[in-house]
Amino acid sequence: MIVSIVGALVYAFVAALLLQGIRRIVVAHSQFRKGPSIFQAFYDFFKLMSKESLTPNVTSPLLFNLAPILSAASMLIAALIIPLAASTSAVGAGDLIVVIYLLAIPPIALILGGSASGSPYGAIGAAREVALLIAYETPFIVAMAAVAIAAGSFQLDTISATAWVTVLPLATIAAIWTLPAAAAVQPFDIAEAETEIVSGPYVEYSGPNLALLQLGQWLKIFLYASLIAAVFFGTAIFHFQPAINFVIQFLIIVLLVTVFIAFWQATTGRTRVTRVLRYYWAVPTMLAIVDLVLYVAGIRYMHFLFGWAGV
Amino acid sequence: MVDVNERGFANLKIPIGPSHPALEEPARFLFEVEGEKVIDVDYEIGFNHRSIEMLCQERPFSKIVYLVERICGICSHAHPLNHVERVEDIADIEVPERAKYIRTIYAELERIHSHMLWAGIAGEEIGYHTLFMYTWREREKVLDLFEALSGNRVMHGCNRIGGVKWNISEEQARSALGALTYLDTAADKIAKAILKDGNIAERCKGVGSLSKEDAIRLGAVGPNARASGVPEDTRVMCKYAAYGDFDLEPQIAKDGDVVAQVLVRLAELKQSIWLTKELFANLPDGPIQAEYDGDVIPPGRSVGRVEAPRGELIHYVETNGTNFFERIKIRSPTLANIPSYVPKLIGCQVADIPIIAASIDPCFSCTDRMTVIKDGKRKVVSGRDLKAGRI
Amino acid sequence: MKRSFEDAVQVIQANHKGLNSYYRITLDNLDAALLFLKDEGARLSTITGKDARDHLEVLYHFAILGELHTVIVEASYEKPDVPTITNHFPAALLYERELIGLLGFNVLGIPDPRPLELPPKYTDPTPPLRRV
Repeated sequence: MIVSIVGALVYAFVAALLLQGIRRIVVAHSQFRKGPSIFQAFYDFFKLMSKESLTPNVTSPLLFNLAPILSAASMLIAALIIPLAASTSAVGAGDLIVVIYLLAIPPIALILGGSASGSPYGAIGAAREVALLIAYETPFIVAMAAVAIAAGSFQLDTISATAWVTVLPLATIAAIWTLPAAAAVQPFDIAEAETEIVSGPYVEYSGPNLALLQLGQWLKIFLYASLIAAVFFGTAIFHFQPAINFVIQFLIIVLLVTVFIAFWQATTGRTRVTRVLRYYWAVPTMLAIVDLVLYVAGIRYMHFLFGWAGV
Repeated sequence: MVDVNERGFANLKIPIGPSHPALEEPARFLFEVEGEKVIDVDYEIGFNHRSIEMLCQERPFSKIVYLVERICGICSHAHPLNHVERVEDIADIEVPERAKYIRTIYAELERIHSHMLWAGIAGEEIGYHTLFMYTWREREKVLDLFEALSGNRVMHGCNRIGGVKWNISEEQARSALGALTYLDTAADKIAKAILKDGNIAERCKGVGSLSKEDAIRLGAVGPNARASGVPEDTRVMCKYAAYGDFDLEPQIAKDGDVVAQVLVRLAELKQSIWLTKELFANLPDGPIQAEYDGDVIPPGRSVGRVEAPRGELIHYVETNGTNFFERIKIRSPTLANIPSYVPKLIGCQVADIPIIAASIDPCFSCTDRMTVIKDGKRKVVSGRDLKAGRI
Repeated sequence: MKRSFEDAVQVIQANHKGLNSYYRITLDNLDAALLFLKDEGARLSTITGKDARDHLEVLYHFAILGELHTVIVEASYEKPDVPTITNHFPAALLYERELIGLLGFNVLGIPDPRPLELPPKYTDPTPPLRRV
């Protein structure tokens, strides 16, 4: 148990930071650049941990300093509950609802920290993060609800035994569609828009505070993608050796991250925050709701079309 | 810090600048916002004060060409061009045709690289890093061309009173034509990338509009004014240097919003590339420097304008028969364009502030080059004044 | 261009090389001259302030299409007052603020009298561009 916990934490840390490096290299190559080293996130993290953490003269230093800890801690706990590379998670059980709540904590920590930072940029960034969170969580939750209903349970072990993409493809699309917003990159890097509000909620953070805040964000991207991979693509679909399952699942995550996030990032500018809400509440939410309603109504169209009843 | 106004909104005052990622150069804007909407803006400039006009009165006139060149890196040819034209006007020096053509070539190349730079900055302001990388990559071709012609990427030092310093050889002209053909296709690609992008259109359409009446009333110049429909282009009106030999038309757009600014600058980019090709192809033979008595500039005055990439640049030069200038006054286009910020920014959203700020193509280095603080008779800047003045 | 003002205006140089004209005018006639220029469709290009060693001068550079018409007024060191022209030409605001800050003019009636470009804590009593 201890071994699996420590293993899961180390794996999550290393994989999350490596994925940042991969993403940046893909973006750089699409801009005719070489990009940073693949280990750049590690260098940034340890460099920031070694610096001094300054707290500005704010009314609530407690909230200001609590936010990064909340962000990182919630993600580390989530790493123990999501099945990362095997059919069960590190602690053996996991609940979908708990995971969804945990995944919403880093944005909430950003909102708290941004509001507590005493800077107008932080305040505006926090407000934008609220809008962004509401926007992308909606289709995600509806898609997850569809899966939970289809699986008949909220336990991640049960859910991830089946590759739900074969039964609920629209919900899969909706969930993957929310990935760039969860990652807060173009076109959705609204909360930390550099040229507008100078990093938004992050603006007053420095040193280990900033390192933890960023770690929470990076882990969130990795765990979000892992959750989608585990839930929609299953963890035991190929019935191979556990090691090969692990590789396949990691490759699916890498593919999700790089393809959907990096290419989208490299080819667009930033959207306006008012448009993001309308964007996510239109098509993605509609797709997820359609899948949910069809399943509840008993229409198994994938089975009808392809003969798949869930692998 | 946060108080609530009568509509129940918190009145937030956001400072943008002096140092802010949205600004290329320091200026201070104080925005009063309600939620995401800007209701008032106040600006303060002068952070790049470098005392150039004062210095121009203290140095012999042979050094002023170099001093004036260092006013701005992007318009580094327009300033000395205007300056030497004023001095030639006072001293009645007739510049040879080839020198005029070479000066015009540099001016047009500068316009090309400045507009490409602007396209990249505009993309960067709306978060579009890739557009920034692409346009600046194409811009490198222009800077390579500058380096081949004058030895420097910016600050060429090619203007002299009475002519230019370096000649353009046949080989250089041929390779320049090749580079310009490449730039033509690059400009088409940039135009397509910007104009066919739905994200950019959504962020820029109707944003930061300036009506034609406001543009004229507030004294806007250059592409900023032409984007609002004002049909004035100093190259067409004043026909300085070699512009008299070509038939140019001011590129105008209608609405004065960011999309109009983009259209005007892209059209000017294509026009400049065409014009530069014509200039290289029709370069007349002859000397590149006029003979004149280099020691004395007679007393007199001259005022004149040049179309810098950002708009109308006006120099006023007055001489008194000594080795020093009596007065040099420089008004760069950005200073004339700054009042047009106010109607553009009021009513916009906070997210639009950077793109509107960038859309008039501000160059505060050009704007702020004013006077040093004097201390008694010796015109030095004291350390105390430096610290107090943020110079 | 200034035919109706021939008596009040001292023409220094008219139509130099077809482009530039310079006129010297007294402060009282300035307003009428501005109205005339505005009717002709002039645009203010910039305002130059000058320390002419025994008096102060302000040069208003107006552009009418391709031509530049410069109107010169004088003021004394003791009474460096000029009226604002922002009522006719709102574009003059920043240029007049520059006159206030760097040459110590007193521009009467200007809506925003903050000196341009000088730091807030500037304490030297002599304005920077004066030749003292």
